[in-house]
This record gives sequence, C-alpha cells and structure tokens, in this order.
Amino acid sequence: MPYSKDILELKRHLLRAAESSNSYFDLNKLIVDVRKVNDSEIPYSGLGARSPNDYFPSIKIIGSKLRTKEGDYTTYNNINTIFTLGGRYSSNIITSDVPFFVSGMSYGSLKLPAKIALHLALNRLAKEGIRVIMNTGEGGALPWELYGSEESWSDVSKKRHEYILSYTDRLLKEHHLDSIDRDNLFCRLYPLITQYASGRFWKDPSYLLNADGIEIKIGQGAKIGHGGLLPGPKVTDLVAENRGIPSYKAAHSPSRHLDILGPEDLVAKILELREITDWRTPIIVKVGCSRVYDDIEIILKSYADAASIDGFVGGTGAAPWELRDIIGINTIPSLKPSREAIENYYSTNERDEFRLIVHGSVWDSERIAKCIALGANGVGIGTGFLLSMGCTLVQDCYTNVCPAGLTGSYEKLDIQTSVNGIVNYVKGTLLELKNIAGSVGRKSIHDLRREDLVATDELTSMICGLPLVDGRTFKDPVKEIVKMVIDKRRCLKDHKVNKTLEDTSN
Amino acid sequence: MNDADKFIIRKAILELAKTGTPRFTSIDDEVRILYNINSKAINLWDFVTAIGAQLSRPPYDPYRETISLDISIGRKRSRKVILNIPLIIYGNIAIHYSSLESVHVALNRLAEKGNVLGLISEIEINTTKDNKRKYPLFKKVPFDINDGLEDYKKSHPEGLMLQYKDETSLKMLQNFRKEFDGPLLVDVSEVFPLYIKTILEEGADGIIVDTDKVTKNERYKGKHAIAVIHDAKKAINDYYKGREENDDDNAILVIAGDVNSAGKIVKAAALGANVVGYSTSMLIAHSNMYSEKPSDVSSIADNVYRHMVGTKGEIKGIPAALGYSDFHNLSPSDLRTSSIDASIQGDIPLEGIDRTYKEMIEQVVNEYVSEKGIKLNSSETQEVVRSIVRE
Repeated sequence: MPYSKDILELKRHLLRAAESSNSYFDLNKLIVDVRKVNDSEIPYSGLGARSPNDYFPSIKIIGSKLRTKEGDYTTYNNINTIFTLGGRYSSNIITSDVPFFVSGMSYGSLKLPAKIALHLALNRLAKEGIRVIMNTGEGGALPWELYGSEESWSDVSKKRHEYILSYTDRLLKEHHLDSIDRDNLFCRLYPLITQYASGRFWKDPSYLLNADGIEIKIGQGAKIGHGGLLPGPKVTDLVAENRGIPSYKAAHSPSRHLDILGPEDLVAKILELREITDWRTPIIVKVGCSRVYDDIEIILKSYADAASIDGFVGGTGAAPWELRDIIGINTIPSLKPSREAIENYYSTNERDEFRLIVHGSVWDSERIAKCIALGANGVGIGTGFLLSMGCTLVQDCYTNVCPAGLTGSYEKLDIQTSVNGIVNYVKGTLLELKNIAGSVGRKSIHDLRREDLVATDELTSMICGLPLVDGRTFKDPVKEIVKMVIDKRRCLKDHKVNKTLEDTSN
Repeated sequence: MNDADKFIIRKAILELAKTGTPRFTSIDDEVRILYNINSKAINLWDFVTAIGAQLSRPPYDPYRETISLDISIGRKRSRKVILNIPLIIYGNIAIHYSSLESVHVALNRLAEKGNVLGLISEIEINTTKDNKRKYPLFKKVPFDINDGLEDYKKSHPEGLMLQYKDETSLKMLQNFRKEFDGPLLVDVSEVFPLYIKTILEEGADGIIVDTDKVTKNERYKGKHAIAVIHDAKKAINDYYKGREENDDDNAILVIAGDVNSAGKIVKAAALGANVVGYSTSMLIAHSNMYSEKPSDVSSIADNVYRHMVGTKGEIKGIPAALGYSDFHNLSPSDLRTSSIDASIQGDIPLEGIDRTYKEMIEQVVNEYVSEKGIKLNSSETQEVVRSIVRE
C-alpha cells in the first residue's frame, strides 16, 4: 500500500527507537503500531492470516503426479470430478464439474471489473462443459447474477425491471465498461450460491429466490466471531445502493446473526428459508474453524444440506489485523474433528447427502486432493482465483488501492486477460486433479482416501491420524523411546540393587 | 499464509493461469523445502492462536455491546487501584525526560476519557496544578535503597514497584508493607521462579515478570515467554492452593517483555497474565528523538494517545470474538497451538485434537506399558513422559 509520508516517517523513527533501546520488538507488526499512532483506528489487513504451519506441506499423496507425459494431458481423462450439493433436504441438486468453487467474494470487497471477469470466465467454462459454482459473498449480488436467465425475469414488475437495468447502466458507466454487451452479461450459465450473512446486505427477495443455493454465514476463517467488514472508503454510492446501506461509512455487520444465537435458532432460520424457497434450494451453513466438532454436530441436526468450514488462513477483503492473525485454527486440523462429528452422527442415523466443504489456504490441485482425501467433499477457493487474475498478495484489499486492480484501482484490470487467467487456472487445476487421482489408481477424485496420504512429521501424523513416511504412526517412535527410558530405568534400578547387595555383603 | 510462501504460491498459480496445463511440482513440494530452512526462525507466539466463538458459543459484538477490561489491583487490606485497560506502561527503555512527560500527558488524556492505565516509573514527573496526575503511578524503588519510604511517599504514588534480588529485598518488602497501604508489585525477573510464594506471603499485591530478562537466565535459556508466563501463573496458583477462596485476595500477575502487540496481550492474558507491562507506548514517545524535526510534548502525547485508543479497540475485539464480555475470563483453554514446543512450554492443547502434546505422549506411554504388562505408578509415568518431552 502506498502509505503516507507521515506513516513511513513514523515507522522509520519507531524502528530506530526499538533498535537503540535494545528491547525486543515485533518488526512484522511495526506497521500496525505506526498505523494506530497515525489515526487511532484498529488496523485492518486483507487476505488470510499469517500461519507459520498450515500442515499442507507436511502431507504427501503417495505416488501422485500432477503431470503424466509431456504434452499429453488426456491420460486420465475419464476420472470423475463431479461435485454435487443438495438433496439431503432440498429437492434441487447443484452439480459442478469440479470439486472446487469460487468462495464468497462480494461486490464492494472486489471491484466491478474483477466480479465481471469471474462471471464471464465461469460462463465460458460452462459453455465448454465445465460448470463451476460461484458464491456471491456477503455484499448482495449483481443484477446479472440474479437475473441471468429468461425465467428469472418472469415475476419482476416493469418498474423493478427498469430499475435493475438503470442500476446496471450506472454500474458499467462508472467503471468505464459501457461497451459491454448487455445480452452477454445478463446470461448466467453457472450455479450461484448467495450468502445469507448477519449484515443482510440485500433488499431484493430474488437474492434468495433466484439463487441455486443459499449459504448461511455464521462466520469466516479470517475474522471468526467478528462479523463482516467493509471499510468506509470502499462503500461507494453504487456499493451502498446494492447493499442498502449509507455511502462511505464502514459496514460492520454484527458478529452474530441477531436471530441465530444457538442450535434451535439455526433450525428455525433454516426452516424459514426452506419455506421461502419451497424446499427447493440447497442450504449450506458456514463457520470459521474453531470448535469444529461441536459446530458440525449442530449443523448436522439443523436441516442443512452441507456444512462449510473456513480455516483461519482463509482470506478476506478486510479484517482487524491482530484479530485475523490470532483467532481460529488451521484448515487441516479441522478436518479430522469435522469428519468425526459426521461419522458419529451417521453411526445412529441413516446416511444421506450431507456434504462437507472446506475453505482456507487451499490454492492448488494438490491441496484440494489432500482435503478430499481427509474427508472433504468440496473445496472453496478465493485467493487462488484472485491470483489467477494477477493478485500480488500485498494484502491491502481493505483499501481502494490494489496493484492488480482487483480490490481497488480497478482501471488496472484487463477483463479479457483475467477471464483467460481464470479459465486456464480452472482447466489446469482440473487436469492436475485428474492426474493425481489417476496416478494413485482412483477412478474418481472422491475416491481419494486417508490411506493415500502420509505425514512427513510427528505433529502432522498426530493431528491428522496419518502414518509417517516410513509407514509407522507417530506412536511407534514414541514407544521406542518409552522402551529405552524404561529399560534405562530398570538398569539403573538393578545397578542400585546390586550395589546395595554388594555393600551389604561387604 | 507465511510471508515466505507467498512468492511460491503466486508463481504457481500464475503459471497455471498462463498455460492452463499441469505443472511438474506442487506448491507444497516447494514450500516444504522452505519450512525446513525457516521453521526455527519463527517466534513461538505465532504458533499460538485462540479459538473463536461460532455456533456452539455465540460471540459478543464489541461495536454494540460492552466488553469489560477493568482490573482491580490490591489484595485484602491494600488500597485498590482500578485500571480500565489491563496495561501498565513499563519497560527497560532509557527514555528522555520529555518523552516520559509525553507519556504522562497521554495517560492523563486517556484517564479523562475513562481509559485509566498505569505507569511504572522511577523518574519523578513534575506536575503543576493544571497538569495533575490522573492515572495510577507505581513508583519504582531500586533494590539497593537503605532509607525508608519517605522519599517515595512524597510523589503520592498509588502503588510501589520493588525489584527483588536477594534476602535483603525481602526485608525491604516487609518494611514497605508495614508503611505503605497501596498496592506493592514485586518484579521477580532476576530470581524467577524462586521466592514467589514467600513474596506473596509477605503481602505483595502482584508479581511482575519480564519475559525478556527471564529467558536470558540460565534456568530458562532456550525457553520462550510462553513458558515463563505458564510457570509464573502456576507459582501463583500454587501459593493459593489449599487456601480459602477469597475474592478480596487476588494477587495479580504482570507480564512484561515480549508482549508488545494486541495479539500477544490476549495470548498472555489467556495464559495467566492479569496485566501486561507494556513498553510500546514508551517506544512511541521515545521515537520522536529520532525525528529530524522533533515534535513538542503535546504532539508526542497525541501519538501515544492515538496508539493506545487503537490498542484498546483491538484488545476489546478479541475476547468478544471468543465469546467473552470480560477480558479477564480468558483462560488457557481458549488457546490452541500448531507447535509441539509451544504445547510443551505452555501446556497448550494442539489444534484439532484439543489435547496437549504431553497428554498425547502420556496416552502412548500408558498404551505401551499396558501392552507389555509393565507396572508404572503415576509419578513414574510422569517421569517417563517428562523424559520423552525433554521438559
């Protein structure tokens, strides 16, 4: 971020004071202190938490290959990668051709060109036979997302129709995208999940009725227990109009749904949404990873079709810096208790179409495969899609300045290049996933099992319940040490007894 | 994500976005090499996180609900000192008088707005009628003074802070306790973890431990602040073990040193710190000395003030997100770690399995002895566990 001259000067002086005072100072957080000095506000940051150990690199898929032969990407073309969502309580089922999808990234957090690039890219992929699900994020949906088909207009009044088209015109005009073909834009070929968050930043019933799925967001990994946040400078007039909130004022959504305080409230809310959508639409409940076993247990009993968990490295457009880095647990350690909660539930209930979706620190095919092998059914990706559009990971998504033009400085983003990037990212990841599953002898990506994985260190073996690379579990080396310690103690004891006997006989 | 990982991740995704064809190596293959190199350079604090509130425990909302940070210092017969922010400005930083004056002005401004926090200082701040102190001062008493307390009483401090060094310090503490009715805090960093029980028996109202100093001692060499806080709290708990519970008899633990950000303040509090000795405010005031155009006292005080307002917002937000309306309800059970070292040093449960490393090892030891038919009593089992975890 282009910090002001004042902030940079303060930073320099504070650094020198810390060095000269010979006191320990966390240099990584120096800028946080300086920003508080500058404006007394809680410093924000974007993307995910700084986690020194997210466990992914400590897990290996035995015998897997991302790439088979040079130039030949069709070796494992028949591997099944389809992911379905719904059918547990909903009459509709969402089908995706890939087991990963676009995580919730709202308009407001992302600038319009980035949102349009995602929309066009998913449409292009769908035309090529690869349907990828998109989640709207917390900040409402864009007109073409909700009214992307002929039938979606059927119940819309003339007045409302005119308003939607006028809002679209203003949106495109403000972003110098007037030339975009409206017919092409108002066409959605991919499944859409709308987010039902504590902020309720939507004012149009079609937000729920026209969606293919609804995600009740209890929390997210980057700011667990805190609620959503869009800093004031990003709440432009058009963003505010879309969300139904005042312009240029920070949108702090409540840390909890005011009508969901416990398990019973969640059931009531889901039943309410079921009635509204005539039991058609799949409903997901999303939580940040903390007490995952308990949370999944609650979700399983709540008429939801799926649970979604978000590890604390999961990204965000804006979160209080310190809070983002301290609250939550990593994605991988959350998978085992989540799976245990599910298996315990189904030990006394008939198995059904419940799905477990995971988010957070998943960027490429190998990580997706690891999550699936550890028990996930689908994976949400946010930062990966941003990276495919050129994200530079400077983590200033909370400002209006973004080096890649994604979350700010939108003029920099070339929509066509971004569309190509997203399409290639999805296609490449899909090919890699097929290669991984095929190279370990599976016919479907969902056939990957824990048995296909090994841990490279003791901690990962302990936390995931995986064998170590040499086939032993973490318990084996520990037992060897126990044996040595006990033998040594016995030797010492025998030595003492012998010595006492010797002394006595002397 | 780790700073070091970012470039690998970005490079990998950009490659996919450019070609749309499978890569030869994954992100994890490349990151794995980095971890081996860098893992030891990471501060153990970063491996510790707190578990937030979601469905099974609803969070509080710091923007709409009251989150209490208040703490009372003073046991039994001592005069009580209330802090609205659980911080006492304290650090081993030699700062200029004008810098200290700025801290004083900032603390006064904060107190006027209902944000009282303390200051530990040896230097006297000249106050005028208009510039009276509105925050509690804990006057630092050197351990080698021979005279009585008269000199220290002149500035009417709300509390005193003694540095404990040896047997003579104990006599000093006994004398001061007789003469002074305000809170007495004793810095035990030089002798830690010894004498804590004796010091509390002699009526000290709180113990101060500077983690930076302690980890330089031979006994704690190679250990982290996490271990120091854990052991300090254990020593205080041991003192109270078997004693009748009394709400009016709470000796506090003040942790100074490597606790200089909101995240670390919350982690230290969860591990057992009641108050944090916070040096960053002093550093901010002191940093003015390095400016090409040093500012006046009032402007530096503004900096310290603004920084503290931001910090207060942060340390209110975190307990709320963990489901607490009171900062002091934080406990070790709110923490999780992704490091075996941190789990051993602070008795912190590992994430995902919610058990400490020691508990996991104990389970394996029990399994092994039961498999082999070996008989070990509980102290022998603990001894074996300790030798495995190299505690």
